[in-house]
Amino acid sequence: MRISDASPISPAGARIAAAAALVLLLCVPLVVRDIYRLDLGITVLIWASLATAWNISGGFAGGLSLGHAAFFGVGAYTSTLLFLRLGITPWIGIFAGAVLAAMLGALLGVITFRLKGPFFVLATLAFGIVVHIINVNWRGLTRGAAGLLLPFRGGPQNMLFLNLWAYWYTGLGLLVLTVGVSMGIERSRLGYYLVALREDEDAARSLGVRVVRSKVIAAAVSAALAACAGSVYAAFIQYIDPDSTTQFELSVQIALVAIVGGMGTTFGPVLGAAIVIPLGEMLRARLGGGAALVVYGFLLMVIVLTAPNGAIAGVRLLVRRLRRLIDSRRKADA
Amino acid sequence: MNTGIRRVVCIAMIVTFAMTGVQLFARGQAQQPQPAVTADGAAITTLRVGALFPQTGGMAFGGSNALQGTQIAVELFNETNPYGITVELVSADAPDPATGTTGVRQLITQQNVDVVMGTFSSAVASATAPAAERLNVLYVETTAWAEGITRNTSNVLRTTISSGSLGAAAADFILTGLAQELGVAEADIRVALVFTDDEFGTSIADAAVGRIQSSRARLVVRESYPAATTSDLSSVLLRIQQERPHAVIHIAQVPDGVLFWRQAQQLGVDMPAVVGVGGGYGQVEFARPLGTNADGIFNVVPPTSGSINVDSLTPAAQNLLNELQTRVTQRGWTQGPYTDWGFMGAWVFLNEIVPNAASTSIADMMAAAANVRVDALDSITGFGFEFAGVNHENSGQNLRAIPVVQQWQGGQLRVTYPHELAVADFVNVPLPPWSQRTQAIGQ
Amino acid sequence: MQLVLQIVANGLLIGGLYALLAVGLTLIFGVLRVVNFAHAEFMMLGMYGAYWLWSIYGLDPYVSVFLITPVVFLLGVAVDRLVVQRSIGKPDVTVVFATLGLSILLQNAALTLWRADIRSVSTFATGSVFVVGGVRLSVAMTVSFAAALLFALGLWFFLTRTMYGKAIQAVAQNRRAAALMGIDVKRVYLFTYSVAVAAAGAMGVLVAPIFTIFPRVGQTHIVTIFVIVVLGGLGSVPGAVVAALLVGIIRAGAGFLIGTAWGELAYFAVFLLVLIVRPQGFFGRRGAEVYGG
Repeated sequence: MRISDASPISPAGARIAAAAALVLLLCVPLVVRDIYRLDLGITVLIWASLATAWNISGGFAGGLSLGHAAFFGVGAYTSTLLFLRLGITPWIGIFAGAVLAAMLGALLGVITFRLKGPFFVLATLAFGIVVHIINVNWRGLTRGAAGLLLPFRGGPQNMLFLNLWAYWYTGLGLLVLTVGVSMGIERSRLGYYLVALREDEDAARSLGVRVVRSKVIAAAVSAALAACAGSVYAAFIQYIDPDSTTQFELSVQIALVAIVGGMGTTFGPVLGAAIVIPLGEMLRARLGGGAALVVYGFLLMVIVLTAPNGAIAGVRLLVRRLRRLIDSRRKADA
Repeated sequence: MNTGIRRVVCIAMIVTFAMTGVQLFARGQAQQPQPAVTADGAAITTLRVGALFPQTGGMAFGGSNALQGTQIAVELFNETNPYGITVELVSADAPDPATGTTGVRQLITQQNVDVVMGTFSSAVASATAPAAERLNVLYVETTAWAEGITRNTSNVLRTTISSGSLGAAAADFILTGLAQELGVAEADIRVALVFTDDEFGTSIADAAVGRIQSSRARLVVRESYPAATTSDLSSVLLRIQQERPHAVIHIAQVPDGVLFWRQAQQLGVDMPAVVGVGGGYGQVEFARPLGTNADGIFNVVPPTSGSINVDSLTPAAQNLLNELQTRVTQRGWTQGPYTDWGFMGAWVFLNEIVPNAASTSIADMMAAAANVRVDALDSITGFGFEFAGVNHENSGQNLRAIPVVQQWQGGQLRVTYPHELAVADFVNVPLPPWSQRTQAIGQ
Repeated sequence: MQLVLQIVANGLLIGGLYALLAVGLTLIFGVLRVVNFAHAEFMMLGMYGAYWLWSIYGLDPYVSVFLITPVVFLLGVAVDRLVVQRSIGKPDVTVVFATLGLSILLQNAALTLWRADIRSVSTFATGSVFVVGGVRLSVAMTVSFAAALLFALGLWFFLTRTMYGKAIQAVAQNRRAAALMGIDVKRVYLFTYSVAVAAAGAMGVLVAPIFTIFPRVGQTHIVTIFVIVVLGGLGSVPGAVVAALLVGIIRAGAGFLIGTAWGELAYFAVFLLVLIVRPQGFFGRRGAEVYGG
């Protein structure tokens, strides 16, 4: 049993393909000199990481979380506050945020592991709102709605760069980290457990899968990675406030990116970010905000109704067809 | 056997995909023309202005108004065109800081704008003004009030007021003009403070609290609530009823402002004076549903055309206002305070700063701004323009944007304080108790 | 004492208003097993209906409610056919995100069509109050409170006393068995969804004299409504009513005692606690939360 049993690409093939893609992504700043496109690209990288993080608990373990903005926010605020108050560089703060978020994620995992379907969704939603309310009202710590501005102090040693390409590589590093962890989990015993639990919890339990442990670890890892994305976001935008870090709408968007790309697969969420973020930008520019969101809502509806496996399923279909074509050619040649 | 071929095919596929992606990315860059006006060029002939306002999300209403004012200012400037300067306006949506930041970068690098104008939302401006600073582009803030926008940056010209001055002005008014009118000594005054928990509300509230705490007056209620999700303010009102403050400072958006008053009426909570600060309390949409019950409610804001004595303006300013009103009506828009501030900020920038700037660089624009002196009577908003120099702690701030205290009177906002600027006397001080009001039905 | 009574009254009235939304939401969940994220958007549409009929034709919302409710019902029929029924029986992700997408679509359609302007309706009911034993009750709130109770009672009667109502209950308990018994399950879904969103629309019309009207107005209520239906037990109509009234009172009380901001936090914390300790809510069937229905 594999998480992505429909994958037409062998693990070795996937590894090589990923390495090739990585090399290409490394070259992007050499080719793309236009700030706006690079900016958009960095946003895509951060979203890809965030959706990948969500996917570990949402896709692999099957718990649709609508509260992941909370972990993103914890990451953003932890690294930023450590920097502002104690002068600790975000390069270290990012790990502090990840640890804190992992603890919160584990806590949430412990209290929600037996909830299913809409109950789980609503519990995570409520959790996200609790974190948001605390964020808005604990003004002594977070400055509330006034937000925190990262002073441009020190430069690279504080994850603050003048050149966007440096953010591109930071974002890329983040993506490699999240995708790496995701791939590791997919192949590990934990990955098999999670899928077994997702598909049939009772059967899995009777086969000796440790339910609570698996779910809690998945929740903690997912939260930690989301927090890492939050720290990078904070260093990139250099201003954070509750509405842009812990709001409910953000949680919806995180899940949406993963779903559009294809949840339960390692590369689906990455593909999702590459589709959704530029599409959203394009629609906004072409149609203006309201109309763009009408299209957005409509697309979301259509995708989950007609293609709940996401865009990655389409890509796989394409790969499979192509391979069949090549195979038949070879046969014909022989 | 064919795993090798599989691999090759897969890699080829991915490479093609990625290459296409890279090319798509790269294409925009190839087509991109050089900026029309370079920072070290001669006097400006064309100016590309990026307008960055929230057009979606919770702040779409005020943001759209401000954008409409900006659009009309540019339109009018191009039609009259006294300096031979053509202004091109490009707009981008800024519903939140992240989208706003992407928007700024897009406007500057993709649309090649020479200056960014915005933002209505203080939270968005807190992120976007520094973003423009890092790209060395001037930022003209016409509509957002947060103190930090000018303090933390070196590229911002703010034509409108700052939140610190608003909050302090509200408290000052209560401690002086209002206390006198109510016949209460400063030491006896009790104040309630109710505000939305967003940047707008908290930054004004902080300034008001600071002012009240340094006086002998007492702050008896201090309540915040989330504007976007509040459907019931009865508990706040009952607290007010218990504490019986002389004055309530309420910083609100329109929906919660209306709800506050409708529930105050339902619960019969009598308040001798209520002082709103900008935002919702300044909108017609706030006062209209309250009908005659709005009469006597105070509001502290930078003045607008709706509140000042328009006849006292210079003929040129009156003409300008007429033009604005005609165009707003033609398009079926509504003219709110943010329309006025967005319009006038853009108008002063285009007419007083751009023609006198040697180039579009921040330094040259700031140098030109330093010489601006616009009299209050030459402005449709009733406040003048004079920008703090680079050495000022609040550099770039319009020092003549001074709040006034207005009062709703017969569906209009009229300036009633300070007395030297007043166009009307106080009415309903203290506000009549609900038991003495006729069963008021708004129109 | 007077004060305590007034707080309880305020809480009850606002709770009644929540109830009208919550009963529909919980009914949809009970029968269709769908969390209708777009529920409050139908309320928003009802409010706009009330506004347009009032501002153009001068119709009082208490009259126009009889015109608008059927229209929202028909809209519910269309949405059920086009969106909701297609998601039934599909994975959780489809069920959750189809209506979430619908909510985004409706909100922004309203924004595009009618702009972000904040509109309001003022009628005789806006400022009028009954005074009962020194406690002040808003006329408009009392009317919507009464409507909510009537709707809940009527629905309860219908579900337990009529043939069709029993058929709906049968579908709620076991859709396969119900289908085998010859019940047209799809029609039951259609009927349930449309009635529930029509109630949300009606509520929108009835509260138009109090609340201002703008595209995102649904968002001010939806999360509260989620809390209520879970507390009451997803799928339980009486549970939703009791929980709505309770939440109304808790909010009013907590708001008065510890302030609105922290009161809000307290009540979400209680919600989380209930989810952990008794996820089936007060009235829900035990085990429902574990098996997703």
